[in-house]
Amino acid sequence: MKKDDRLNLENRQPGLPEDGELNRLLASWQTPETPGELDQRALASYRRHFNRGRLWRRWLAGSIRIPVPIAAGAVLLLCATSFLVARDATSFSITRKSVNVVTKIVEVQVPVIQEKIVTRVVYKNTSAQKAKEGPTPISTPPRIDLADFRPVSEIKIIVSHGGNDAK
Amino acid sequence: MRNKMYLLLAALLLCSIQLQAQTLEELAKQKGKPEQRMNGIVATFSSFAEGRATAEGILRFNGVSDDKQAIGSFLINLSTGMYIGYLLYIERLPDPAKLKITIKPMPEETGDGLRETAFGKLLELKWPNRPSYNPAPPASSPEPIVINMTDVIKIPLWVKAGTEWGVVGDQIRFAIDRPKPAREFTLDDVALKLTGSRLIINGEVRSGEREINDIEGALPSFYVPGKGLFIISIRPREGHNFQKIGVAEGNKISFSYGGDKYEWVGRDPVIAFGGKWDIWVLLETDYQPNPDLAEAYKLLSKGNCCVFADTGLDYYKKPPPSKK
Repeated sequence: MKKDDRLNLENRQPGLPEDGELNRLLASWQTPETPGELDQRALASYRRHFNRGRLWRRWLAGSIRIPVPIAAGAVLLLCATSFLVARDATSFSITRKSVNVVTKIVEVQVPVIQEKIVTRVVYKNTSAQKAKEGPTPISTPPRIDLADFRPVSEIKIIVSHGGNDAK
Repeated sequence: MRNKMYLLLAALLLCSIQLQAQTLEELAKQKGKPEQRMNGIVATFSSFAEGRATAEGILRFNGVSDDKQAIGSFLINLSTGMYIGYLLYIERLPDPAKLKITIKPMPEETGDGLRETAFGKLLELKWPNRPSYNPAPPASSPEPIVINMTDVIKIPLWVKAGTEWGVVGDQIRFAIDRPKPAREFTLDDVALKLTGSRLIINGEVRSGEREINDIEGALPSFYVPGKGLFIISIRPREGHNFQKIGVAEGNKISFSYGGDKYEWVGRDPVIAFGGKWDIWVLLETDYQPNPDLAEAYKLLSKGNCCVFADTGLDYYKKPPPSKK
């Protein structure tokens, strides 16, 4: 029995009445011999069809089969990396805020220090200027306003040991 | 007794006005001498300021009390006219490197004494709207302390609270007082002292209802409007036209000039060892007192007199350059 006959018999559905004429016809039918190069031509045709698409089309429309454990691991790795990157970005912004706060403190303190220095420098310059000018007519010194100063309620003594270090 | 001491201190500090010192600022220069001596110690005063303050707005007066037991320090705030004072006591200890320092507030009686002085009137003229010319209420004082001779003490006296904090006060250094070398005694060392005096012209008291506070020196003087400045001396002075026209006897100096009779009467002997002595008088007709000081004395005498002063000695120690 040829291969095709056997397939037909095996594919016959049970319960159907047998057709004797058809069975005879099938038994008498001889399939033509397949040429030897048929397989080669079919393979060449397939390759011709497949290789005819461009590379970018294969990238766009192509697919890769990946095992589930590897895909799951890749997703987890992607999530972990994203989390770390996001955390670094948050820390950076906080650091920058703290830098801004320090800058503000410096801006407040600097004028106070400058005023102290200016007061003392003005005082010293006045003396120096007088020394340079020599015996000139006496002029009224600029009045320093102490209107808001009040007498102390309690007299205290502050002792500077050694004396030379005292202001 | 204590009140008397404080009044004497006040008088010493503030009332012996010299001709060169006729405003508060000039008085401070004269009476704010940085070096004060007591008990063989020289206390050198200076001002200190911290925070947003300078000591330039404060006038300071220093002086030793009559009994030499305390050094007084007055500080006037030129912006307000308020003033504060304290007394500094310095005691030497068995350890020569140690000092006992006591600070006491100036008693309120001091203000009562000052009010009827030229100084008090200068305060009134300078700050006419002040309700009171008493010193700031007495502050509590610290316990006495023992310090090293080389230590420096600071006493804050004026403060400003708040963000613009500042403090002004006294800074005091101490040193052993070097003994002064001996020198030859001269008549310029004889002080003519007029304590709590009155001026009588032609029998009329012209110096006001109250006594003039103490004036002591070799050349006491008084200015009479329209006449000039009368300078009193116990001796003639070369190159200056002092005339022997007066007498010092007991509590009084008297002389006549231009037909007027002048009597300057104090509570104590004019010359400490008593006696009756010739007095030389010079009239400086060109002298004009500082308007503020003249006005202060007008307030004291209710507009009827005069300016009193302790004339500087240096100018009259030698002939004036123009008359050589």
